[in-house]
Amino acid sequence: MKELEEALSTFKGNPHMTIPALQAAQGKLGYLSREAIGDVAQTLGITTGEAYGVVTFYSQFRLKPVGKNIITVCRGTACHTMGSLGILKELEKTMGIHAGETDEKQEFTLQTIACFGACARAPVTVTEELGIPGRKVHGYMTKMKARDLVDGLKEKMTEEAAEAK
Amino acid sequence: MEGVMTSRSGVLESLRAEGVKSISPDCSKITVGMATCGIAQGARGIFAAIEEEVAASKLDIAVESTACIGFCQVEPIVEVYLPGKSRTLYQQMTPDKSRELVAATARGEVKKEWALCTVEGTAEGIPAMKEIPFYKKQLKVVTRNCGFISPRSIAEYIARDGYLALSKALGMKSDEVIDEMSHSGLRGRGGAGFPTGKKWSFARNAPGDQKYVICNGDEGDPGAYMDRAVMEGDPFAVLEGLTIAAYAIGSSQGFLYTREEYPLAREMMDNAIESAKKYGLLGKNILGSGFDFDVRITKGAGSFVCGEETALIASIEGKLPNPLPRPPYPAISGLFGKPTVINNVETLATVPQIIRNGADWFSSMGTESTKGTKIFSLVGKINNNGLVEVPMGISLREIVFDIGGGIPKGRKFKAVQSGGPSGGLIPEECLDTPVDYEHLEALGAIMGSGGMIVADDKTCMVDMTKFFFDFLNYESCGKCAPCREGIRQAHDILEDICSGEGKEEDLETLGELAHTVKDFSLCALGGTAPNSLLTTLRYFKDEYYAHIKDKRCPAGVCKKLITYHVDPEKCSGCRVCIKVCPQGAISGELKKVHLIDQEKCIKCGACLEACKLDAIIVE
Repeated sequence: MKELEEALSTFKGNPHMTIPALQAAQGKLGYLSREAIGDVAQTLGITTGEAYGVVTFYSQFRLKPVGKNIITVCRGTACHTMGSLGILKELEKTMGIHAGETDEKQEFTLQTIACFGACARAPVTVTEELGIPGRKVHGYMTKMKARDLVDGLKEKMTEEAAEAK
Repeated sequence: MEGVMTSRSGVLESLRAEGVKSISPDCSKITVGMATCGIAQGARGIFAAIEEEVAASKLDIAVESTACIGFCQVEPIVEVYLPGKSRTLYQQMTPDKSRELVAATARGEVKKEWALCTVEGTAEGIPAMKEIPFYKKQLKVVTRNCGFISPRSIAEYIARDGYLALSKALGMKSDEVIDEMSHSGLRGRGGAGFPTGKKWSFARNAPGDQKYVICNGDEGDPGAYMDRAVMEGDPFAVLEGLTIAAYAIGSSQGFLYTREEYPLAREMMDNAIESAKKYGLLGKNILGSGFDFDVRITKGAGSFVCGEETALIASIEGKLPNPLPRPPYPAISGLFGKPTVINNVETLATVPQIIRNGADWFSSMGTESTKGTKIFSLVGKINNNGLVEVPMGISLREIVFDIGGGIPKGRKFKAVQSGGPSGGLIPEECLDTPVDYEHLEALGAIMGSGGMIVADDKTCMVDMTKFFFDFLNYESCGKCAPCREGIRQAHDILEDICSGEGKEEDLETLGELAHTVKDFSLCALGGTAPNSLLTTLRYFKDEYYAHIKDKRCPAGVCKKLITYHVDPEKCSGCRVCIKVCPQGAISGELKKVHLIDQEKCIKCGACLEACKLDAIIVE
């Protein structure tokens, strides 16, 4: 893949750089396609199977494209104690997708994280926009705040679409 | 040699002067706490408001940012320094309050009503930091700079005695440095508690020209975030500790393994490495001593098992992070087969202080077996959420009730979970236990990396155990059968119990599984995995019986075992619950008691959350 050539050039022939190379590829594409994993393996000089093993081991790597908005529900211990499962269920219902899925229009991806490390603000949900650096951490979540969060993002997208016209 | 010494102290001296000036400038200074939790609570908006106000009124006030002072509950926190008068912390700030605070600062006044405490000097009507319950029993050693200096400024770090330890260590023989560490009694803060000095001496004595040091910043324990806070708040201390470790074992290359989930910590560490290189405190010929050392940051990709040292090494090597049997220990054969020391962030941040203040100073704190202090993240059902650093030997009760301020909403304490997924749940009757490695282990828990999650009577112990098994089931690397299969089986049984399908003999099966997984797993992930199960079976067996025999969840958590009702005494008939119910399961007229149709109710809890009168009962 042409678009990955530059991103992967610094890792050429270095089999120790599996994670950084995959991170670079995912940073460029938003996810890791079959082709991209093959490219990474070839660049590093490892087998595609080895690269695939690493990809599927870590929670950061994705095998499917993600939506414009990524909503991440923290499922750490403090967040669980403070009711994060309820927040996740509410988001699944509001968005019509399950954790780990992206909607058909590719507007939203819903995912979970093992712990975001902002435990004092539990339960925590994090939102980010694909390709835009920086994430927003929402603390003390409630089901109502979860619904408002999705509504707010939808509204923002509608406004942006109207502006684009 | 004298020339070397002069240039060595020259760099430090000029940076120190610069740092002293920026910590306590001639003008007033406002500092905003901008670690991850502060930002999550709106610190960026506050910083912007303060900058705007200062610029608009053309005031002679410095505006800075710092990290986390530990009291996350009252974030966003703003510090105001009035030269010659006081340094005061303000809690739960908003942009509007911050603008007013700028005006008061310009007049040289404090705002008593918003103040949390003073950290320097005195101000009338504001308690000193040492007097308020949250800080009274704390002892800040590792976190002494967190929230007090700009984490981006090497000068401010040096102004607070930073790099004196490295300077001192480089004048010592490496064996002397290791002896000092051994005498201090410091034990690894990542969880296992292995004596740091011993680990270093193994690597030092292992044959080989090339040796490595690794800082384990892969804080994978859900519920623990002290390593993030230390990297975000005092990154130079971590780096200085790593550099001293490298000097002690004879290593020229270090690695810092950070989590993908902690972008700010990584940014701070990156900046620290760049700054240290710029001033000759990292790189070739450090401080003119002839010692070379460089550090590379590697970023993890989200995996709990990578906190295990052999898995972490495999991860840096680009391989699948499956743990390996030990021996050989990494100190003999680690990264790329070379002798390697792996220390946790908190451990390394302690090192400079031990070298600077001496082993005796450090070992004067703590208990017989566990010296010094430890940072705990006190979270969950607790009034004062935050990071607390306490001397070892303090009791759990003092941590939960004196520092933590007890349980919110007047609820009853049920358990404190210590040690993350590898730890256990400790009940009320054990709260007077002194906290150290041995005592917590005797209770069936572990100190781990320091997560302390408090549970109240609305937290279900069976559900909590299932939660950990869910986590461990996902995170088990799958290499060895006891861990992979045992955890999965136990998880499925726990799920049955939570769904009301538990059988009495399940408890015996769970006990057997727990011991098999504990005794026969390859690494510590499996070896400690059953602790939550073993402790809940030991201390909270009644709750298991309630689920199995009575098909009842006493805490009101397990969906299949509970029902929602309206309390006719409390219901005012406001129709709020009717509006939020997604199933249309609630009926009733305005100002008349409402009713929940149990056939339609999916137990989502929307009514419970929406009702302002606490009129929804869970049974």
